[in-house]
Amino acid sequence: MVLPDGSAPESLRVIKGSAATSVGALCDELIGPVKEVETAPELVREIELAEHLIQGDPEVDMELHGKFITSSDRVYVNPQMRPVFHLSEEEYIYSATRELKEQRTPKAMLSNISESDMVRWSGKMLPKKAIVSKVLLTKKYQVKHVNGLTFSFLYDLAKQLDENNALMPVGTGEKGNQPLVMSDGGKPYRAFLEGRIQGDAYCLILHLTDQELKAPQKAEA
Amino acid sequence: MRTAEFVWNGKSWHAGLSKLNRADVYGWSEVQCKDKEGQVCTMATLIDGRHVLPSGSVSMLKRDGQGNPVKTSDLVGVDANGNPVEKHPSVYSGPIQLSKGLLDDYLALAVKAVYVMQTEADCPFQSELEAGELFQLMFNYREDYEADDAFMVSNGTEVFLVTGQIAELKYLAQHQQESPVEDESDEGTEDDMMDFSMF
Repeated sequence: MVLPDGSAPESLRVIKGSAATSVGALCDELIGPVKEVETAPELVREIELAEHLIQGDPEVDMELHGKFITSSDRVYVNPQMRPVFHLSEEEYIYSATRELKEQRTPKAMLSNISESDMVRWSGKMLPKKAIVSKVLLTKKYQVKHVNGLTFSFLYDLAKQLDENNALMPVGTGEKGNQPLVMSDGGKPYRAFLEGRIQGDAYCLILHLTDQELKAPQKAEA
Repeated sequence: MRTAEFVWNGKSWHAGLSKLNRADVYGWSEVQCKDKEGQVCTMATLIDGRHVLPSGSVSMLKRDGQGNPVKTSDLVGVDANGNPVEKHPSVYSGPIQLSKGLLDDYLALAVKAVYVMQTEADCPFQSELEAGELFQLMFNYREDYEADDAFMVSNGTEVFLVTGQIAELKYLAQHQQESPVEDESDEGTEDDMMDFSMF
């Protein structure tokens, strides 16, 4: 997209406010921190803050507000907007009905497709139409050869799949039935191989899925 | 619910689109970071090493060559040759003509979003969809310069709209050799020589 004269616009990030000028910080500064016994809703405090701003008419920070950002860092902050350097992580697992099911220390999944972890093909040829009506094949990777030997191997594999018009499940683990984790910290995916042939050339696609083709269950009335 | 109209072979179907999130089917997990006092911590932006900007403190701005701010609505879409292009209409702007989709194209689709089609009336294309047919259309939730490819597909009971971009697949012949995988054992030697931490 360009300007009407054909020139390209420049996109910039600009500062609108800071921790010191956030609504919460201004409420605490001008009205006072929320006392435990207070039950005034947040909206009442914000209306009172608006009155303070109208009466006081403070100036904006001319050095900071409206400043263009060229580089920045990311940092964890506590509710008081102070940077925190020592953190502990906790994972909360919720069900589809938004109920808390489990609370635990996060488990990082390690990649299981390296040379030491073999990706095994199941040998089962499943019709393409049957698979696409059951699962959502959301991610795709193209499998490529690195030399003549791997070309022959992958070409034959793609040819078999193409001739049978089928997808083949692949997995890891001793039995080859574990989902694939493509990178450390990544999510597990079930995988299917698809092969296509065009003369002496092949195309081998690894389809990944983590979701069936189904709608959420409707909540009972 | 707002509905879109889909037309095929003289038959018309009005259906609403409800975005399908994985979390609504399987649930989800979230990781919370806490400080020593057990307070939940969030990410913020740090500018110049001293200004903390909480979420919502930064916005995007466009400006022209003279430094004047420009609204997105003032911009026009052009193709690679600089010729103006028209916006593709929203799926809600009028009847959408369906065409038969190819299974190979659907398998090459890099999926962006999935919608559950919701309607009280029966789908007039149900028999075709249950037989495994796919319907293809150009999809835009809102009017935009680029439209997504979309396929209407059924699991036997419900109908879904799967949107994304059909990838151009590359067929590889033997002479199209990939870069050989680097031998990791060779890297250590150079690293040792350039390892300044030893000093």
